[in-house]
Amino acid sequence: MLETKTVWSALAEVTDPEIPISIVDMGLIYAVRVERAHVDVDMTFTAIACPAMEMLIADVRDKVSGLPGVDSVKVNVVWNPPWTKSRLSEQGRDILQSFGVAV
Amino acid sequence: MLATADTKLFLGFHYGEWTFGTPALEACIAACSMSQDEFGHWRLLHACLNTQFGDSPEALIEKRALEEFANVPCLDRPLVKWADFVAVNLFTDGALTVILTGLQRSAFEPVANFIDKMVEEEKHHLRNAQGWFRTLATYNSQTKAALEEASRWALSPTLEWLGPPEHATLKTLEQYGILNSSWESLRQRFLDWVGAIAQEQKIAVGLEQRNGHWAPALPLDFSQWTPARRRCTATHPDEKILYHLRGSKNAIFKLGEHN
Repeated sequence: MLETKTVWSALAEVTDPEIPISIVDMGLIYAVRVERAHVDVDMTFTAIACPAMEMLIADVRDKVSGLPGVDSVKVNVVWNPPWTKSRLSEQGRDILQSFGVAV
Repeated sequence: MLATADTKLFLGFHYGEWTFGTPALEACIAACSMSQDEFGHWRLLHACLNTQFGDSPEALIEKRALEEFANVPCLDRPLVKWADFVAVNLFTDGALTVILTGLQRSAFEPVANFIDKMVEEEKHHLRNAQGWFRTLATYNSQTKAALEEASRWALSPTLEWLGPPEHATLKTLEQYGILNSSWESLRQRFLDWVGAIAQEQKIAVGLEQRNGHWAPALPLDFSQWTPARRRCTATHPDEKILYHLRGSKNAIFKLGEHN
């Protein structure tokens, strides 16, 4: 049976296209819900005009769809609460700082 | 919402146009980033208009006549001077942001879902605007004079777009909790905000203080004002700007439109 933590682990392998940081460490994933073989992912973006939006949504969909036991995936883009730097994980902060990003 | 989307579309264009003409590298990056933000907001507002009211985003940009656009009129033409850019950044973008704050905690859920994020992004635009306004106001007498002229040029059409302090449609929006304040108080919040900034920098923008609040020094005539276009006159945006925004020249390369 598919577990939520399996989906989170898969999402942790999806990275930002500019800096090799996981979207989970970026704090972009707000919620994961599993109902039998269907997965709902609530995700946000750092900016409303994020140019990588479609790419990241496709990456999330592909990654989760590839998990055993998944028949369908729905990615819901949410803006509330707004993403801020406070959503970065400790590891995420370290990665961004190593790339010269002030966080 | 359509008038806000139209204004964001034209702001995005003008900010983008200035990306390679700014007087400092930091300003170039800021202009580029603000342009990206405005186009993103415009896209989100159009998506909302589409899901809630069935307005096709393509039709809203491709099929409307020039005379149907409801952007702030000072965005109709190219921004010629850097001071024009700064004035639009402060007054026009600032007015829009105050209106957006009026939609926070809105009873209209589709907007409530993204408005906080939009306002958060706009705060950076206003920080940029205030920084440049202060810089031009204090750099030398020439920049100060140019800023004063540009401020008057941008503020007047922005107030025209905001319209009269109240009218029936906007009162209904407040009654239903779609707006969190009356239009009059939102308009006044904007006037008090820009009035204080202009006063601090000693820039005369055509506002004066009355009973502790800022108001236009000259009365505005809204007798010919139409809510749909938020204008008093039959002016419209420059066709060339819309040509660029529509991407008409490269229409054959648009994805999904190949035969």
